[in-house]
Amino acid sequence: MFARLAAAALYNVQTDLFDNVQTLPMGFFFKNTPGELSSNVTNDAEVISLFYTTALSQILRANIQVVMIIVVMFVLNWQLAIVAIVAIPLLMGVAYVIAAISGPVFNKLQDTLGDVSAFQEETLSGYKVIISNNRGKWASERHEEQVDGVFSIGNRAFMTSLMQFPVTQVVSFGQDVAVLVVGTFLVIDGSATLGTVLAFAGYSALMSAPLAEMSNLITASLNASAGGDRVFRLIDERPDITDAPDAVDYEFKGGRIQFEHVDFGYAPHSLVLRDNTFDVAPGENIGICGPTGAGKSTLINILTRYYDINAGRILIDGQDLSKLTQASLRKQIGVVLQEAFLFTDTVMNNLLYASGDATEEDAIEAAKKANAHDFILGLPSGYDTLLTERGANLSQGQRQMITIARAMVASPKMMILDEATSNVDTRTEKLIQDGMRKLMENKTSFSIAHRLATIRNSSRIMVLNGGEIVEMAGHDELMAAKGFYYALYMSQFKGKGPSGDAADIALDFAST
Amino acid sequence: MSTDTAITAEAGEPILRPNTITRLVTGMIGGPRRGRTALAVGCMVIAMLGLTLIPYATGRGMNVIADGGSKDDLAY
Repeated sequence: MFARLAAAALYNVQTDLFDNVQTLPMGFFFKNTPGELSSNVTNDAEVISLFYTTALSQILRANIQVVMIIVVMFVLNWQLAIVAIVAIPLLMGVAYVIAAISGPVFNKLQDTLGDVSAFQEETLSGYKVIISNNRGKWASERHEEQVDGVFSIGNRAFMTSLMQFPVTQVVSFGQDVAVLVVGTFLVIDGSATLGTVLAFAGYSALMSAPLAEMSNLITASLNASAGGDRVFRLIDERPDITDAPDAVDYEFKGGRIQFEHVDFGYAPHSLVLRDNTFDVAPGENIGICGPTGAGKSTLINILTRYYDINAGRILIDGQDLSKLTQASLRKQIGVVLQEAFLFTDTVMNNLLYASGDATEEDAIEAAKKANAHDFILGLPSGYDTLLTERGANLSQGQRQMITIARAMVASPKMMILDEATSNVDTRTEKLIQDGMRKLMENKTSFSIAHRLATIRNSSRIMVLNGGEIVEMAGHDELMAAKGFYYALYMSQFKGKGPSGDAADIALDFAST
Repeated sequence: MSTDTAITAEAGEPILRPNTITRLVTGMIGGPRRGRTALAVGCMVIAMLGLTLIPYATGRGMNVIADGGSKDDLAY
């Protein structure tokens, strides 16, 4: 019965935890990496599970048993009862001291195990980098160091905790001897019967077992307390960005986007974007470029309201972004990121992921538009092919084409593409760009790109530097102005002529 | 609590946090599970009572077979 209660309680903690993490904003995951979170959650869930399944019912049983024994002993013979219970505070004291010594060591062991599992997860995910940089030996050595740490702490923890057995045995044995000696005198004296002394010997043995377990139970409770605290902090975590009480659903009216003197910084006094003002007409394709750290992705993060701005105002179709419900806003904005993330599921289910009411025909249609249909048909089971973790059995370009098709299935009204064609070969880039062009057709869209050839055909190009918009116009106009964009462009195509090299020219023509 | 905080493993001593333990215990035996918990505790009490009475009964039996003992010693 307790096992069922424990299983239900653990189930609730895990579902509450997972459900709440799903509600947390992007900012939370920048501060707490998934590796750290999953490592903590796994280890903490383990100690909570131990507390629920073992410690709690044993503590309850031990208390009930000890109280009952004490009552019966006092009913039988109060003098012998006093002799028998003298050992209880002594055993409890021993249990507490051992728990106080071993508890912190066990906790340290848990933290170290967390570090080891985080390192294992990271190295297994980054196996390509490790192999290509010939760092396998380094990874093994570092892992060995960490495991050595676990061994040494674990050794200390278990040695301390194993001390309890001989100590409690000695105290319990002393208690038995005391009961028998005093009992013998009482029998001789006629104050107790032989049967009473025998019963006390039995109670003495019965009582020592739960008391001997007490230090383990105290340690389990201390660990559960520490682990539970971390888990409850996650469960109680509330998003910084919440819908205003009077928030309304976003009503799409073409997709006009206006930034009015927008300031933003991840830290309160360190602005990443300064006084950004621009107006994007419905259906316009805006290319965004600038040096690393210029604020390109940040601009997108605040447009999708992953963060709230510090000052100014963002209007979408004349509606203040801060007064719109986040769900209605994000439903209308599709995002294709540089890292094409796919789930461990079939190709079809990955395509249908972003839209609850799309059909398989919609998905196939989208795959055709995104130029993914042909290669999907070439997979062992076509659309029913099971993708391995993060789509590792596909190339980067294939994964990206599927994410573009997935965005098409969701049919958002506006699109954001953040370096979506990075890390792919020129031929694949052409296919992806063709898919992207269809995806962005007649939609207000933003494309972030380091490779300027990718955004050359945008309606306008926004050039960011140091968090400020330094230029915003069409490619030809920006080139003619010979400003920041011109310098960027020339630095990319240095020695290849202002129009770029042959491959880029071919690519640009192909994508127009 | 806001999302500004990082939820990381805290090294060092585990301090018994009464609120956390209370919340953990309530999560298992509180709320809608009170009835089932009461039943589980009731069963446990009965089992423990039976276990506790064994040495008592053994002692009584010993009194019967001891020198000068009689069946009357079995009566409470």
